[in-house]
Amino acid sequence: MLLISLFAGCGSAPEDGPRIFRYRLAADPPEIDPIHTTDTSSATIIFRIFEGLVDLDPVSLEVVPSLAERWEISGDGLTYTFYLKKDVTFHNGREVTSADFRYSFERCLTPKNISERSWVLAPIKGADDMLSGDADTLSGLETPDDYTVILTLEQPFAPFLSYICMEAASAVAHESVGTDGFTPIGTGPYKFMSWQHDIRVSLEAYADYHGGIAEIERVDYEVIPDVGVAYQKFLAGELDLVNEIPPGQLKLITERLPDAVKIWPFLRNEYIGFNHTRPPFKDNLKLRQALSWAVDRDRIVEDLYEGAATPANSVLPPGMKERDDTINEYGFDLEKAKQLLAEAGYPGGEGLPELSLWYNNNEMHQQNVQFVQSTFKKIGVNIRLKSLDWPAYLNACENHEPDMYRLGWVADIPDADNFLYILLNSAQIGSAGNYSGYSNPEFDRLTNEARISTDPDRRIELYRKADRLATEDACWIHIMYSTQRILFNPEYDGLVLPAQGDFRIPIEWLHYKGSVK
Amino acid sequence: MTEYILKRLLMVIPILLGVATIIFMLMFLVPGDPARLLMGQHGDEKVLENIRREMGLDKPIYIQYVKYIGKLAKGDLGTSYRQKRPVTQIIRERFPATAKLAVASMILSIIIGITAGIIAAVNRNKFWDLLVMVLSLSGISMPVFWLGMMLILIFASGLGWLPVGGYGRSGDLRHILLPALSLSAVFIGYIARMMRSSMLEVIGKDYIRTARAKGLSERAVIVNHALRNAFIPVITIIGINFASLLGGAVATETVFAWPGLGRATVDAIRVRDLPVVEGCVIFLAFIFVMVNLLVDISYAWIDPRIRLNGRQDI
Repeated sequence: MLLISLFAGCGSAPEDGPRIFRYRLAADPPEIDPIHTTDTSSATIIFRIFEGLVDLDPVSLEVVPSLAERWEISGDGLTYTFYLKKDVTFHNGREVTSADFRYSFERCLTPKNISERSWVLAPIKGADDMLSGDADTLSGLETPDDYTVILTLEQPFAPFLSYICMEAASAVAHESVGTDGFTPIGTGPYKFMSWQHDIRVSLEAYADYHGGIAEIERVDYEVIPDVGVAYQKFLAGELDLVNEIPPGQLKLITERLPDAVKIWPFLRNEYIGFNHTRPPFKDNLKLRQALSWAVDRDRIVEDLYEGAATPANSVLPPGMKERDDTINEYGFDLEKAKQLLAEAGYPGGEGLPELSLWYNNNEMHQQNVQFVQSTFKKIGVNIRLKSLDWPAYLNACENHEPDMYRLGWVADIPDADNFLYILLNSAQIGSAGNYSGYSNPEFDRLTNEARISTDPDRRIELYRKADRLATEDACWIHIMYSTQRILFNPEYDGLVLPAQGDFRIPIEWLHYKGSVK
Repeated sequence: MTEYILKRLLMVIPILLGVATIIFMLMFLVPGDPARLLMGQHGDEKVLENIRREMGLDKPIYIQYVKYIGKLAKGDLGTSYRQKRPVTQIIRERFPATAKLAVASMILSIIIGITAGIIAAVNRNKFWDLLVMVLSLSGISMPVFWLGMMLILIFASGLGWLPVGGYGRSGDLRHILLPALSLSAVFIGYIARMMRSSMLEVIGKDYIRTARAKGLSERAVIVNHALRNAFIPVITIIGINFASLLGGAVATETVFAWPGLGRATVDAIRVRDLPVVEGCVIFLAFIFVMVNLLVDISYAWIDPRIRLNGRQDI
């Protein structure tokens, strides 16, 4: 009977059993454990099951209360005191207390648990000692009573509150860890029901949720790797949300399903990085600027992304409060590019060795770099394209092998630190995030200060300066800011469009139109 | 016979050891750091160090190899880097889906392929022969990915008879039909062509002429005398294809969202989840060896002149 109702089309309510919201995932989540979550498939599910002390409002991106109802930050920015909500229960019915945060944080930092995201808690005092195996407990965490959690930081760290909105800082019930592995038990609006690997993950609304029970009783996350097939399933009423739109078909699909297509900007940029560690780009600002002027961003956005993106003019995408809209350093002007190329010492491209531009295998990326290659040719700059699969590509970028490389970055948190410090501060050169090898002492000073400053206005000012500086310096070629594109069953409302991407969509806010509440 | 089978079974050990060594070396040589890949784009150094240490990836390669082979000897395929679960568990979960699909498409291939091949051979150079030859060639040439999508568009999206991909609750008949059909197209083509040429060869033999001369009906000649002998080369093709299907069919599994081994293997390669890649390949090698053994045994059953003495005269 369940099977029949699954395929009966989205319009009809099932005769028996709960209404199921069917959400497409492109891949099976590697795990449903907050301390290991690094991919969006897992995050989509984790954020429904687990919650932390604080959370990000999906739209405004402000830090809002979650399991902590309020918090205080000491004047020196070192001590964070969180006051927990009372009568909040895990999905097994046990009340959440401060001890659960000690357990969850220490679990994340215990070396043998191999958390990929233990850096989220690294700013807390004693975290490094735990991770290196020198301590068994987290010295920077105190629990004076059942409802108070005090975190002390090693040094002031401005993005800390946003950091602990990430998955790894969630409250995990110790009962999750059993002899037969990990069973997700959290406090979120949905509780874990079942997981058939590579098929689906099912969640059901948690009746005692502290925010009130969700109206959608059940969510099935269906693993459908091919987006074309996911689209067909959506048309057949077998899916309610497809978190992607088949490339090249946006206009067609929008015409066919105007109510179902949702497009919104999210915190992601895309760029072509220069290799600052060796010639010809090292210490040759004019050359980097020349190439920055030789990219027709408007046409890339229009022709390749069907208008569903924004040409980029700085590091920070729209939606970031630290973004400075007045930064507009480079347009598309081949004459200007030629002139700068001559000033750089390579008139008409003469004397310039053939440069390499690398990208990871993907049809869109390939079209993107081929387009760039063709306009560079017009100013006399010849580049050779090279594509690799992601693991090999990442390796090459970290070792500064390419002259130029294509990359994008999705913000972990809506804090400019996550773009500017992580990707461009010279302390981050190598695997930590700065693959270009960009190094500018003034930029480092600005981003270092912003990291520890406790004054929000001062931080914004510092990041605006830093972004302008890096852009004037032509750290990369800014290409575009991406949009998130989804198909959503218009029979549901209450959808909000999270600036971090679809994985943050609060399913618990949705309701079925016309259904009796 | 028993001695032969035992010998063949013993051969499995060096074969698997060889496969394990080759795949271990290959994965080591391919660029990409498995520990680093677990972390996404933000590769914090301290965290990375911990992952390498805890997973034993900081050890020299020969120590990793010895440890790996040592575990393998005990039947332990290791733990997935990414899923943090035993590889045997991952294979056990995916194999039923793969086996179902393999069996379903083999049944389709054998029934349709052999029938078509016989029809073509009996009607040599006539209309039916030509039709079978053209269709089988199309079956072989059509990319599985494309064919799968077409089947979905026609039978699922268009006519609404079947679901658009997916496994349903347990890979039932409604869900398996389209993936099995798209997967079997190639094999139907191969089997039909092989059956036809094998039949034609047999029909030309002296003993068939004798049978006809005895006054047997054409039907009796084909069914009792020609078929059995014509089967031998076809069985080889079926065996090899079946074995490779049991290792998973990536394209079909991807299009139809079928939770099989092929997808699991390719996904693991994409993220350099070495234990999973190694485990799946070793498992596939094992299946290959076993199916080949079964094929060889079935020769003896079909053609009593063949005696399995472990010689190369079969």
